Amino acid sequence: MASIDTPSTPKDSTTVPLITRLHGWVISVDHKRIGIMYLLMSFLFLILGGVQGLFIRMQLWGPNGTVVDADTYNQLFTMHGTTMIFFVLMPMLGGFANFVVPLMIGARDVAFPRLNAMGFWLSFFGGCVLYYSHLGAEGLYGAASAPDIGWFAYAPLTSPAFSRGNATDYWILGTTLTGVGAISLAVNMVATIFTMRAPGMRLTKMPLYVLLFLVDAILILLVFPPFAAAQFMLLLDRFLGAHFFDPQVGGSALLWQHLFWFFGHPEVYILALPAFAVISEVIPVFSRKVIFGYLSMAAATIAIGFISCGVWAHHMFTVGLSDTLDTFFAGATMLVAIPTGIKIFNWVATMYGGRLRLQTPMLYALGFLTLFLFGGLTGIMLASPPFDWQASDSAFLVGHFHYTLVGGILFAFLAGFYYWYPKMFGRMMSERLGIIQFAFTYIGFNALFIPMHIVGMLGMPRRIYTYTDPSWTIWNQISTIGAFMMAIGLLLFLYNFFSSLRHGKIAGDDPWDAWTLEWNTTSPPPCYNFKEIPTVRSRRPLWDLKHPDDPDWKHE
Amino acid sequence: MSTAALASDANHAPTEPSRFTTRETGLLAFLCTEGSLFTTLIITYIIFLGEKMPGEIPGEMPTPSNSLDLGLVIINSICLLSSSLTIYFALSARKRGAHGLYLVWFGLTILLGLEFVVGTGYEWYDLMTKYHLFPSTNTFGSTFYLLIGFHCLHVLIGVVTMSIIWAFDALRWLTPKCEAPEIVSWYWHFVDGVWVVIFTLVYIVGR
Amino acid sequence: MNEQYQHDQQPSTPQQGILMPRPTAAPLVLAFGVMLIACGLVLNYAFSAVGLVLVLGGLARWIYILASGTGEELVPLEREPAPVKISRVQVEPLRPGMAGHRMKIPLEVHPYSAGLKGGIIGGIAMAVTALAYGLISGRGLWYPVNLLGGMVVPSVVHWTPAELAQFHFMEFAIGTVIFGFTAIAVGLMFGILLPTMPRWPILWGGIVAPVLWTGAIYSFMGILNPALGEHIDWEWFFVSQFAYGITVGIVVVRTEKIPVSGIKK
Repeated sequence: MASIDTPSTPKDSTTVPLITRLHGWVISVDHKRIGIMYLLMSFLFLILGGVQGLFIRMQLWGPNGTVVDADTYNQLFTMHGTTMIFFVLMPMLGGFANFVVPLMIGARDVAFPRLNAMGFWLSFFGGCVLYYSHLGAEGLYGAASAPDIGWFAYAPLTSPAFSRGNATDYWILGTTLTGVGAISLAVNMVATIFTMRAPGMRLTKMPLYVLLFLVDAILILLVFPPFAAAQFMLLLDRFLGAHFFDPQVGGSALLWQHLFWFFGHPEVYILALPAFAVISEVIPVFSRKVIFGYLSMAAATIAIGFISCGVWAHHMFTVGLSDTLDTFFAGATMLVAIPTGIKIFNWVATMYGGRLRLQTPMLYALGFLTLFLFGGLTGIMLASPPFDWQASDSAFLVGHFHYTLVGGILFAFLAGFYYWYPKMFGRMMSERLGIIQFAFTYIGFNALFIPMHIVGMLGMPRRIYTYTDPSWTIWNQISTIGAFMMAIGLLLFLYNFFSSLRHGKIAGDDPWDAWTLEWNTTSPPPCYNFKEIPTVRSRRPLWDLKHPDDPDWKHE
Repeated sequence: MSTAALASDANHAPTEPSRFTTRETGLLAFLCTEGSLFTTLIITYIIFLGEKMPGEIPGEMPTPSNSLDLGLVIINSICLLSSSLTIYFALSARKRGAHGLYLVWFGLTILLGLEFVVGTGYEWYDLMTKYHLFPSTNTFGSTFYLLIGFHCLHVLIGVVTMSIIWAFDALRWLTPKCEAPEIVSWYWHFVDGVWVVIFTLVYIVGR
Repeated sequence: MNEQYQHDQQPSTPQQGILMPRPTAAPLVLAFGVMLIACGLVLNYAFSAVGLVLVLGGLARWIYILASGTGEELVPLEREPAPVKISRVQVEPLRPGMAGHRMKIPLEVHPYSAGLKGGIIGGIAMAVTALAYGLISGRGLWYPVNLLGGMVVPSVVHWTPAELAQFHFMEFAIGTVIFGFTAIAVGLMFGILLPTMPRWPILWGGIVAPVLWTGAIYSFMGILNPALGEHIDWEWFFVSQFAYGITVGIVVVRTEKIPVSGIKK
């Protein structure tokens, strides 16, 4: 800190040319700007992944569909899955972690702002590498093609013999780069949350949001490296002729499944914990009550973190593990239902007796509760190996995990968008459009995925590019209609997001009458967040300020 | 009532003291990740230990017992493990303010690390020319080069980082309060600790 | 060389501005270089070469920023947030008997020790019943103990009746641990749940719970351990559960209640 120069970024945005402003964003190391860039990145890939999903649904409209051919279909579902997990939900996580957490703990930035920027750019470039495969990956016949190995890329589909060309290599490189980005995000979060909290904010006085992101970051630290290691082994297999996943020469195809799912299952919780975090903020504020059972929520979060690392083989029941392993993993999986159930009960108990405000964030939070509960219950069904043997790799399973990933996580993030948008941009998103969008998204979502459960029970496998059984047609058609409704809903959301930048109602510093520190600064916050670092005495510092007669710290 | 009023609240709850600085915490988080990475690699090595190719004639393929040579590895290991000691001396010299002594010990650490990298290179050269062991030879080759390679890469990164810090410190560009040498020493101890596990597994138990 | 601006520069001179990290392209360049290096693997090694140059450039810039301490700049202050309004809304915590609320919280509960005690005494009653069964039925004192151990030790299934009648240390140890743990855990649960049951707590704990529990075990035994299920004498199983439930119920109900802390009357 030897020399202190004059500010390098001009503040008055109206007179500054666009290119300078863009440059200011690109080189920014401000956690709020990086957070918003993460969110914009997730929008970009949401559109790409969404269009892929729509193509899948159009192809399945009726028997013997001819919208796309079988090879293209394989590429579509691979890219759809990879995009949605790694380049839509992960960046949303990164965005909400970056934007909100430092504000909520009263810090001026994250612990390592430059590392933070690098993590974002690695994630973004990872997505670019993956999509470059459309142009640069020479497939079997010299035509460019995308990876077609499924998002979990089972061996030996990925072996050089079965996956000619470079599409799979782009998949490996893209997801690995993103993984490194996620790790730098997690290192940042852990260091920030452990060492940069406002004075008085002890670990037990953190808002639940922060605690959940802390557990989330620790999970990322633990499970992304095995994934990176597996990807590296796959690269060695493909480039140096190593034999990790090649059973013909002593390798083990099963090892890939173990390594992938050791990452893949906790990854689902890595995505779910931020969703829980958002819900744990939105529900109390819009019920005008303190969160019910803070300590049990904290304990349940940590329990989820632990248990989620010991359940991965429930993705592999159909592989033919031993009965002992099946029993163990089934038991561990069902165990997850306990902490998750505790959370759901606590959210419901928070609403009980509260004065509910059914504004958009709360609507999406309620949508989350219903849909996530549904997805959780089908999850418990699938946790039982005898049932899983029947339903695994069927449309039922596809319906199940979309209920958790989209119905659960995406709805929670939507709640988060509506909730923190005023803080991000100083304007409100349109309530009216928000409600219309909610109707489209919620109805469309259920129309899209409930029929999948039914048609899966009727025997429709996942990942088939077409079918001949006419009795499946009606369910697939309902699904497709639902998919388009949901697409309209999400487009409305994007329209609402971008048009409110200019036309939204001016929000003010604290539009929701909320209780955490981020509402104690201007909207949007200055780049230093707080002129003076506030001192905290309870989990709801702003409540203490608003109610000096009855502050929280007297009760906690 | 604004934030300023809140901050000046005289009888506020005391700040929870953090045992580690921000950078130390960051490094510890990073080491957790590294630990997870090496655990995966080590488990992979164990899984394939003694695994034979289908239809393989015994003695035909390079295995840990017929191709790994202990002599050079022991010298390498002694160098690497003693470098943990030298970096410790370096840092305690730095704490006392003995700048010259610190540079000597720190430089010695770098040289010892460099020896390990070069020694591993020799070992690999031998394995490839004498025993024809490549990653593509068999699963032993694949896992061996992966595990040792990843570790050696970490040693190399450590050596490069330490060299940069050494150069900066020799030019007295860093303040005495700078945490970089301390933090790189934690990383170095970690890499050494991992080597103890790898050495035991690959050259003693697995041989 | 410091990213810990927050801790190092405390509210120094807020009039001039606040020290914040200066925007820099180094991370962007570095990340782009890493991507090019990775792509070079697939495209052409020239990409990797360019990537390496970019990585080194970005890294050099980054290290320079850290070492020279030029990573921070003074940001001028912007407008202050609006002052927080003190809310006039008074919040009254729920209290029992408050008009318009159906708040029902037990004012007095049994202490945990009641459940613990009940679990231990009930466990003894159950053990005595089960051992009596072993003696009376002529299958031997250790028969029920061995069966309990068989929940974990699979080979018990293949034992002959003579072997089942003998004392085996392993099965005895495992059986005792399972039995003791379950007896105390269920006792604790009873201690909390029984007082919340309407009218006759002993009826719920002594009869309804054993019936449900025995029924559940009976139907699950076919899945859990079918071979072992054949050895169990279900009437006696029920009787011993019954002995346990009644005993725990009596012990729990007879203990003195203590007031719940933290609830204002």
